Amino acid sequence: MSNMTLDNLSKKYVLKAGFFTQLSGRAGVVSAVDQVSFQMEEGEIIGLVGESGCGKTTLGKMLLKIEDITSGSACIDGLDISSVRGRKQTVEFRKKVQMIFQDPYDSLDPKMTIREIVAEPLKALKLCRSGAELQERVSRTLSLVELTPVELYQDRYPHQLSGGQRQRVAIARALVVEPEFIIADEPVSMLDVSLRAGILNLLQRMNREKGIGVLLITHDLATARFLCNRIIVMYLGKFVEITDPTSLVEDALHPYTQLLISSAPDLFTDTSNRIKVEGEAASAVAPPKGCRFSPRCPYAKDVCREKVPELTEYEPRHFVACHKVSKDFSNLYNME
Amino acid sequence: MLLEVKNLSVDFKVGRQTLRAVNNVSFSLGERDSLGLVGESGCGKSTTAFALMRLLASNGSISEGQILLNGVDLAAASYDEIRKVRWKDISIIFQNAMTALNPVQKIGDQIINALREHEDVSKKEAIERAEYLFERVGIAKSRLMQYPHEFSGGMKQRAVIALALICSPKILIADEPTTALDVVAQRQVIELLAGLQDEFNISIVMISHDISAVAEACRSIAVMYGGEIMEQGRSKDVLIQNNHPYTHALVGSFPSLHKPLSTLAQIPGGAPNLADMPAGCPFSPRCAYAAELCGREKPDSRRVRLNKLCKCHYAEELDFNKKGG
Amino acid sequence: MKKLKSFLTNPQTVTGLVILVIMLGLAALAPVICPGNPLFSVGKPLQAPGGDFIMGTDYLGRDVWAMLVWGSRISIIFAFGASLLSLIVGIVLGALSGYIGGWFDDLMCRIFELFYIIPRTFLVILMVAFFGSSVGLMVIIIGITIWPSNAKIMRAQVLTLKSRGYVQAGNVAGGTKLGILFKHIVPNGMGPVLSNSILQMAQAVLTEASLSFLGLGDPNRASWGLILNAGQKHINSAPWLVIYPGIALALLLLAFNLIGTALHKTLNVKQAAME
Repeated sequence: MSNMTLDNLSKKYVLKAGFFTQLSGRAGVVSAVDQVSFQMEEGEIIGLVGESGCGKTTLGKMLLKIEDITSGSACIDGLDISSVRGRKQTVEFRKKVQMIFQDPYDSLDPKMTIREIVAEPLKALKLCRSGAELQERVSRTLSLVELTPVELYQDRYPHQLSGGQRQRVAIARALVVEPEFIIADEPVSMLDVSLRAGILNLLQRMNREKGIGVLLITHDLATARFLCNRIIVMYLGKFVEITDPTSLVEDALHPYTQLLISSAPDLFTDTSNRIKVEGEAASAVAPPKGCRFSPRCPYAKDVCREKVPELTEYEPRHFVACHKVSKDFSNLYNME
Repeated sequence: MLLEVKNLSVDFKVGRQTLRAVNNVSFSLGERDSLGLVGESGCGKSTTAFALMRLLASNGSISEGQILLNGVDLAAASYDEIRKVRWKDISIIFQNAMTALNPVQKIGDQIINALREHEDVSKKEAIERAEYLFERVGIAKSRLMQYPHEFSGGMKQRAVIALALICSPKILIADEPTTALDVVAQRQVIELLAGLQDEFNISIVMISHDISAVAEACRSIAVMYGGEIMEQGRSKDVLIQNNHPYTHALVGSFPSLHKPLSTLAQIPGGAPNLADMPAGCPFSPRCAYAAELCGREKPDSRRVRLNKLCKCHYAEELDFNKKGG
Repeated sequence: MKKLKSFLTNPQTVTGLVILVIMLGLAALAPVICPGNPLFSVGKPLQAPGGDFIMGTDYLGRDVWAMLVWGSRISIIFAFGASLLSLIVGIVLGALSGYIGGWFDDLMCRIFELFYIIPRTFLVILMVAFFGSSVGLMVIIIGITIWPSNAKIMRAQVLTLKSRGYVQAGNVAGGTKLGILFKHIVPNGMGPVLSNSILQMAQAVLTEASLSFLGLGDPNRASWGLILNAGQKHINSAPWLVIYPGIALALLLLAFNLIGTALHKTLNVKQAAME
């Protein structure tokens, strides 16, 4: 069982600049993730949805300690990630949190057999006392991800498997340490459509049977809707809306969420009266003042361009960061 | 008919084996028409498109069939004849817009050079045409003389579309034009492609694994599997009122924002192996409805309801919409 | 494994390997083929090939064939010794340099360049003058003058490989930094370094031969350079003293170059074309 708390978590990158620019303090700073807060409950599957460059992958990497945290804090299971230091604590942390990478063609070492790949975390984290125990856990995990008969697969190399099978190996590697929390970064986007469902169903089963918390990072709202208990919509480093899938699709409040939902191609709905797209996605290098979505927002008022909207609970468990729906400013918008 | 593909087959030589990547494919494209080729990786959709432009890799060849462009058979044409057709009559947008543009040359120069290579126009006129196209694809003409790295992914893809259209081709082939893009940029490209048809009088062949994107961009659709077209007809007719079990399974495995939430259906088994295809229907090993006949005998393509073509022994009996509603 | 097969069945590789195996055989079986010390005088000086001495004798009456056979040992020792040393030093320093990055990388790159600009022959002559000419010392000296190219290749490999998914995955799996470097990155980046090392073997053999030719080799050991050195004064009257060791040298260099370039080609073929 696991929970996750993000408190004003931020990540800033300093752009490479000339010596003098840095001296004068004018070097560009990219705020890839900007003061995000969130409380995840035990055994939830959370979807983190947004366009490329919105900071969702950076956020995932911070939670895995692949990237350092600039400010704020993130706790997984009561353990503050930035306090994890030294080998011993890192080992404890890796036992709790694991990851499934986007590209199964890239995330498996081509020179290792499937058995070696799945056994790697067990060896690195010294979780097995004997070779027999190691083999037993590898076999058990491979059959869990439906790579059976295990004997057929475990001595193969990644290039001898199909994309779907590789992603199953990647999932097995994450599951083998029996983590409490898994971060899955676009786990199906590189796979053929007919294989995606299998991987998604597998993730869902792991969550239901073992109570493993999952953070699903994706650009695809439909995938998130299918798998997640709650969905976070992210735009340029900010959380703009958090709610459950049904209310997200039927009752999206943030104009950006509405644009996303209206833009998604869909067979089963009428797409003739979509929300118009305004402008190009802004860059996190020079984010707009005020609400970061304001330059593209059809409802933007002066206040949007000046004051950053706070993420507030508009309805129970439905959070939005938009002046239009907040009580203080809603009268501005109703006058029209 | 502008383009008619008749019984097209493409073979690849791999080692000592000859693999049939495209098997007996026929379709046609009228003026201002649009056709989507959909299917999973390895189904032959891209190979079919490349064959239309004779852009096959050196170990691949058209072994049978005709590609009639205004009555001229491109499959039998000489290299010089093909070169005249490319870009002028048929133009292509490759999958990865990031690599289609030369990173050290201004986008405007690339477009102008392409035009002046094929047509005898002055530089001034070329710039005017390029600027017009830029505005049409939704990029300010002031950005014409910028470098590719100054553009976002969606803008690059639209710039590539402008580049492909500069010689006013009759047919535009778009290979996975939306795959690398975000939802909003994807939608802009799809809307753009649909909008360009009427204005420039072009026909579009779009290749994608994303059925909902194709359904929006294209009037008709051909679902491919194992090198063959399994079902073709008008987009909504094929995708919503499926007759082929593969179409049905493919649509069923797609998560949607609006259809009722239930477990997603997974198609059992893996992608077909071209070196080891079943004697009968290529989909039969993975098909939930396969009977003994399916593994033995290849079904013929034949007309079914809604004027669709379907390649399944049981196309008439299988009506997937009765239960689902 | 397809790659290995195509590498081994390549005519280039086969030719190279055949030559190399013959040389190795000669070196290993030297005491059997030509018993006794090859540096002892066994016949009349400057005897032409034929008769008792198939490759003739030099001005001291030493058997050229025996010196050639024993000399192959020296060449092989230099080839493998120096390139192995260069391989190990190059891989470790290059890998660390690329992996750690930052100021350490800058420092290491300057060191690589420093070693590049030291004239190799000059350094060896200096060392021989100070410490005398023993085989071990010279192997080490040649080894430490040729490692920078391996280090540079390894560094470049590490820089491209360290952003690969499986390296990040190794980190998430709980691996230590050094563990990830030597378990995931180095094995996947070895190919080009290996093919470079084989080409370096040729370099080492040639360097040794030129040193011996200049009279800087170990005078108590028969080597190809030594025969050449002995033959230079008699090149007009006894050309066999130069021809036979010259051919031997050329063949061995050819073998290393054939294998090295074949390996290089095999590894450089695009992955896509192989599958």
